[in-house]
Amino acid sequence: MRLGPRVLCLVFLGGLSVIARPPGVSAEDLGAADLTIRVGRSASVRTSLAPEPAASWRNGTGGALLTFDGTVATANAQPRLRWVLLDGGLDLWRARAFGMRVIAGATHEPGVNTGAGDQLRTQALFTWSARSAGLWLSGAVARPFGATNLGDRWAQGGGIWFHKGSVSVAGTIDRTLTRLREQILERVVYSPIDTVLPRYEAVSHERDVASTEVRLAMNVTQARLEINPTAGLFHVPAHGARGWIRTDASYWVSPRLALAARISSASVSADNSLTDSGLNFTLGARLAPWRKPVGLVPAHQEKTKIEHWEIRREGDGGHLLRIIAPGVRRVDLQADVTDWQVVSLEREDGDSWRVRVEGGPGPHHALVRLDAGPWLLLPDAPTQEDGYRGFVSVLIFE
Amino acid sequence: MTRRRVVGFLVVTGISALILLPLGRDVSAGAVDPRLTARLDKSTARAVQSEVDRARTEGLPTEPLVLKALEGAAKGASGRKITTAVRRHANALGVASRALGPATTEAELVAGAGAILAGAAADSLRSLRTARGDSSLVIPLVVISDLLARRVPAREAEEIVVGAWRAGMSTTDLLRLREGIHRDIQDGMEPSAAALRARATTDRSGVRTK
Repeated sequence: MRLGPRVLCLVFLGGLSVIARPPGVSAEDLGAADLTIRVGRSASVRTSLAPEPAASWRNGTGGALLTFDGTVATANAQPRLRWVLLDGGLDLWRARAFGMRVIAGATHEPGVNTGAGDQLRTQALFTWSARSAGLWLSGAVARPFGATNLGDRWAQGGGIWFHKGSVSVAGTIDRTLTRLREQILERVVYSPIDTVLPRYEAVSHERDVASTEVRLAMNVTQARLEINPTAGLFHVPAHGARGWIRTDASYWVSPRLALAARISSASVSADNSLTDSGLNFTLGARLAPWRKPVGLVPAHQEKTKIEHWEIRREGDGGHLLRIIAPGVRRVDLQADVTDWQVVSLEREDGDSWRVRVEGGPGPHHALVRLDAGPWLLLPDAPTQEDGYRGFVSVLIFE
Repeated sequence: MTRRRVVGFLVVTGISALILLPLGRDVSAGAVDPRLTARLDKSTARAVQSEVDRARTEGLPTEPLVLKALEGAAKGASGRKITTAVRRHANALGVASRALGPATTEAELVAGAGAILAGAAADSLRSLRTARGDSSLVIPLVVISDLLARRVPAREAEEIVVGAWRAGMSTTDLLRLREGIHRDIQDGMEPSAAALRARATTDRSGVRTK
């Protein structure tokens, strides 16, 4: 079935990291798990055999990984599965900045004219990550099943990444060898008559086609907005070079729900042919039930007018909290030592505010408020999740 | 005669029990912490109190649970969320108590529960206790919780803190280590990279963290 230009495509893209939490893997890794549902005209799906590793693996963290990716296309109100991919990965070894990972996956792509129906893929990754940059080397092999004209595929690749502020960039290059099986007619001579009347027979012939792809992927996160532009240049000697772009944008309307948009140009299919032309645009929603608020401790909560604070034990066992906040007219405290009631601090002199609190030795949780604004964390104090999807500062009483 | 007395006693006891049973329930409701009844709706206050009572029977501190409920009320959380948060907190206190052993102070238990809730493994708490059984674990546990809250992967956070603690790092230096990681993250460094850097720094200074 040929999908026309006005075909409505439903694209389900999902990534699920760490479904079973192995020892040593933080629950925070679940922050990467999400499911995106898109509606719109979508470009053909094509994945690299040796794609760049997920951000958490690039950074030297990681753990188990499970990725689901699928597309259902509808044409003439008839839904049809176009693509399903399931990848599972394991962190095999990690020492200091080095890591070794392996990914195995299966792809099901029914009814593709290339015959590339089902495919098993294995990828090994070697990563090195430093302070805010790193590199990886990757090797992969794929074996198609049920394909008549495609043999095994091998890929070697690598890349570098760096991170600066809210921007991270990853550059990748990979080279893929695809074994093509072809039937060609060869002239055969079995008897003298064949020299007079040419006779031909179909003979199987295999040849390797090499392709190279260079990709540059960025991730920019600014408050609620997340933008991921990716550009690629795909080169096959017989077809020349073809460029493509894809940009994903997500706007988090709540910590676990985002509006998702994608714009993508022509893509290249498994048989190296250009399958779609023009720009494609999809719009959808991104659900991240396990996602914690970006950055967890919101930076704005830590950049306040509070210049300095201290907690000091007094002779009678009580504790004095002193806060220096220039230009502030009122400072409130809400803490376990006040039974989470709002208590106003007294102005000592100028910009200094104080309150005396009673509490036993150990950690105590608190938030402060300036000029009846939002409740804030004390800058540079240890923090802790509060069980109500927020954070508290931890004050340690002697 | 004696038999009649026995029957009479049983009848009176039964009737008394029937009369007193509802009163008994009222007595139980009356035992709800007044701070809970003042700040929460009746059913939430009772649900929280039952968690508090359960914790008490297990020998766990109960004040942190009451405070967790009051915190939820102050933050406008629903009754269901408050009850869930209190239950999770009680479970974490239990896990921390079992991991840290019998000679654990309430402050350590509270800090340990915080670390468990943040995603630390009970094994890490055990390792801290084994490493320096005689020292208070409040600071290392608070540091682990803080690193986890800042998205440092659990394995990194635990390895750094447990390793430093085992190597004899002081609480002041541990807090300084936390500040360094915090500063790097604020400067835009990936939490895992910030942790790796901190570990490299401590290793260079002679404190092996692994």
